[in-house]
Amino acid sequence: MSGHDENPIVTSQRASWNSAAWAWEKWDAWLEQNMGVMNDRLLAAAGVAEGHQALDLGSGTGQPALAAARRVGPKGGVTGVDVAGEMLEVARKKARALGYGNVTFHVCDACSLPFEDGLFDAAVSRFCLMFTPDPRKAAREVFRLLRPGGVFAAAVWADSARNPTFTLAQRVLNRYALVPALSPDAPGVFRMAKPGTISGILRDAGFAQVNEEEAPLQYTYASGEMYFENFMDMAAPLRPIYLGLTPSQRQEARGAMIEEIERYRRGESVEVPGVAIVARGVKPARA
Amino acid sequence: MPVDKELLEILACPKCKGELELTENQDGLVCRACKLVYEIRDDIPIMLIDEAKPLNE
Repeated sequence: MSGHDENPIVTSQRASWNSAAWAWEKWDAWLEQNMGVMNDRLLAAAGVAEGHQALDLGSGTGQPALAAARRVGPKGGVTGVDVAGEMLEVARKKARALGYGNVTFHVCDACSLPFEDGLFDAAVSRFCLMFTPDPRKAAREVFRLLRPGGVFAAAVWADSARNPTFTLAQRVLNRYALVPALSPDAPGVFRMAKPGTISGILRDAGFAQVNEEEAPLQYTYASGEMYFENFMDMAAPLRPIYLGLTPSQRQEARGAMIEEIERYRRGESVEVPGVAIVARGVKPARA
Repeated sequence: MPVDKELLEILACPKCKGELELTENQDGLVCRACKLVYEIRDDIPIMLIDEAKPLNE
C-alpha cells in the first residue's frame, strides 16, 4: 500500500467482487444466455466494428469484452478493465480457451484509468458505472480515452420496482438483518436508475448526441431453487448479509425467496423480467 | 498474452498518466515520476495506485 489516494470503496468492492468470482465462473453459461443480449445491444450502440480498438469498463468475467473481441477481429483490439483481479482471471482463461489474442485485461479503478488519451474508437460498460466510487469521474476518464468521434455505450439498472430479482432478495433479507440503506450518491445497483441520471453524467463529461433508452431483460430459471442459488452466489453485495444470518433464518429466508420468485413461473420455467437503461454518447470531433 | 511493447505504448500511470517501463524481470510496470511499481500478476497488470509498491532504486 502506498498509503495516499486510498479509496475505501475501491478496496471493499475489490474484496467483494473478488470473493464472487467463483460464482460468476460457475454461472457463466447462464450469464451468456440471459445477459448476452445486452452485449449485442451495447456493442451495436457503441458502433464497435472490425478493426476497432475498444474499451470495456467493468469486464468482470469477460463480458462484453469477449463479445467485442469477436466483433473487432484480429486487426482490432479490446482492453477490458475491472477492479476485481479474480474476476479478470476468469475472463483471461476464457479468452485463452477461445483462442482470442486480441484482448487484454487490466485491474483498474474506473476513476483513474491507466491509458493514454484518445486510444479507443469505442467504449462499452455493462452494469458497472453505478458501482464506481464516482461515476462522473469514470465517465470523464472514458471521454479522455476515446478518440474524437468515439462512442461510449453504457448499461445501468433501471428502477428497483421493475427489477424484482434484486428487490425480492433485498426485501426478504430486510426482515432479518439490516441491509444498509444506501444514500442516492452511494455506489449501488439502483444508484443510476432515475431517468436522466446516466445521460446527465455523460453530457457533463463532455459527450454529445447523448440519449438513453430502456432495454428489457428476461432471466430464465428452471426453478425457484435455481434462482436462489444463482442470485445469492453472484450478488456480491448481498451475500455477506445472507451468510450473517443464523442457520434457521437462512433456511426461512431461502424458502421465502423461492416462494416469491415462483410467482413468475410460466409452465416449465420461472421467467423474471428486468429493465436496464442503455445510454450512449459521442465524443465530439472537436472537444 | 504477456505485456508486450505494443501494450506498453498505450499504458500510462493511473496517477500521473505518464509513461511506464517494464521491470527487468517483466513482473511489473514502473512509473519513474511517481516512483511506483505496478505489479503484473498472471499476465494481468494491477494498475491500482493503492496496490502499487514504492520504487526502490
